[in-house]
Formats: sequence, structure tokens, C-alpha cells
Amino acid sequence: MPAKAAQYADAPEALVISLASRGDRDAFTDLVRRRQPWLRNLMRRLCDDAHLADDLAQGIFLKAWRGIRRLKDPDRFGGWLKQIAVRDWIDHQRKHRGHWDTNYDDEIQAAPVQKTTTGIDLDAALATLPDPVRLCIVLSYQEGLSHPEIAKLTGIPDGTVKSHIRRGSEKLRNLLSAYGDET
Amino acid sequence: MTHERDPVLASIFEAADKNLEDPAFTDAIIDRMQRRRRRILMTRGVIIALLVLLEIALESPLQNSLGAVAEMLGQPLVPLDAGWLAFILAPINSVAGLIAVVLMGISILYRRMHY
Repeated sequence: MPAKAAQYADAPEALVISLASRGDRDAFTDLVRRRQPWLRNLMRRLCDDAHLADDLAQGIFLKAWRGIRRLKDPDRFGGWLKQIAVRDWIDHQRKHRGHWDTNYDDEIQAAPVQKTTTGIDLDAALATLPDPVRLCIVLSYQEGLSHPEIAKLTGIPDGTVKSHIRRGSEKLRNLLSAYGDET
Repeated sequence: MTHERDPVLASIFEAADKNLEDPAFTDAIIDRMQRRRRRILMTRGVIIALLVLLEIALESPLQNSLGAVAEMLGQPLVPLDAGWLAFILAPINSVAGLIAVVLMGISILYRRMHY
């Protein structure tokens, strides 16, 4: 870590964000250091591929660096970064799958959940859910967002968010408990 | 109540979070930021160099063209000997004056038709 970036380690985040928004690269470097565990965990829940998750997370930080000058309120940084992350992931899924249908009708896939040494593989179980359902579940359980907040962030109607979370939670619970029984 | 979370799932999500702070990840982002900055600087340099080259290449023809246009606009429509009449009519007795009068006429006509 550059010496100047190390100086920011103990500074309040609002100050570091404010400096980064004025073009201070070392301040932004410190923000990356602070926020990377959260963002990388979020992207891993969404991607089920650590390399892809890290690659997307890097791209999200770069987009944040390009746009941080427009961020007026430092307190909004976390939500703003989350918004970039969600939009980026939706764009990636749209390109990868060729569509993004929030009102899917397909049955949730019953793909086998891979066993890992650390126990229940949550990411693998999440990967079996359709994209919009996975997104709603992750934003709800990982990020603690309410239904209206998820609806606002994703553009999915409030009622659909509710239904996705209800159905997704049920399927996820079944998948994970079935796996737990085997062990 | 807008939201009820399954406590079992909530605890699984909580347990799944790992400490992913990795200096190599931060370094990779800094590296990409620096590469992007170099790319932008290089692109700007190329654009400036092209503009300078273009200016050098077009300097003579461009100046000649502008000079010819300025001369043409100043040409009198009706040749008048120097005198008070030539002095009074000078603003409109030229190609530029004619163009100005035509444009004003079109503007007045347009206003009458539409307002």
C-alpha cells in the first residue's frame, strides 16, 4: 500500500470518500481496501464463481472511480456502490444469458449442490435459483434490504420481489437442508 | 412488517461471509486505474498530435480560402465612385450586405407566417 494511502487507514470514511471524489487516488485506494471484503462477498453470492466475482468487483470499483466525482453526499457511497454492483451484475447476466426476465415462469432448477470441505455451499445453492430470485434473496439476506428497497434498486416490482423471496427462500431451504441431511 | 427473514437462512448467509481483504486485489485495481490513465493520456496525445498535423497541413489552403471569402463578401454590388452616396450605401452595397438583407427578409417573413 502506498505510504499516503496508509495514512488514510484511520481516517473517517466520509473524509476519505470526500478526498477520493476530489480525485485523490490514494484515498480511493483506501476505499477499495475498506470495501473489498463486503463487495467481493456480495459478488460471490451472486456469481458462484470466485474469479468472475472478483473480476466484476474490480470492474465495479473502476466504474466507481470514474463516477465518484459526481457523488455529492459521502454518506451515500455504500448505497451508490451497491447500485453499481447490482446494475453491473444484471448487465453481465443479460449479456451472458441473452435476457433478463424478472417475471420468469420456469421452475427453479434442482441442480445438485456441490459439497465443499467447509460444509454447506451456499453459493452453489444460490446458483440453482433463477437470476432475479437469486438477486432478491441475496439483497434481502446478505444486505438486509427491505422489499421496497430491493424493488427500487433492481427495478423489479414490489410484489414480484416479495414472491421471489418467498419462493426462493423455500427452495433454498429445501436445497440446503437436503444437503445437510446427506452429511 | 414488510419483510420476514428465515432465521436459518440468515445464519447460513452470515456464516458464509469470509474475510476477503487481500492487498493483491487492491493492487490489481490500482494497476488497472494506472493503465486506464496511461491509455487516456496516450489517446489525448495522439489527438493533439493529429490536430497539430492537420493545422500544419491545412494552414496555407485554409488561410487562402478565408481570405478569398472575405474579399468576395466585401465586393460592391454596384460600382460607385467614391463620394457621399458610396459612403451611405457601403453597408448594403456588398455581397455581405445582400446576404444580410436576404436573411433579415427571411426572418421577418418567417415571423409573420408563424406568429
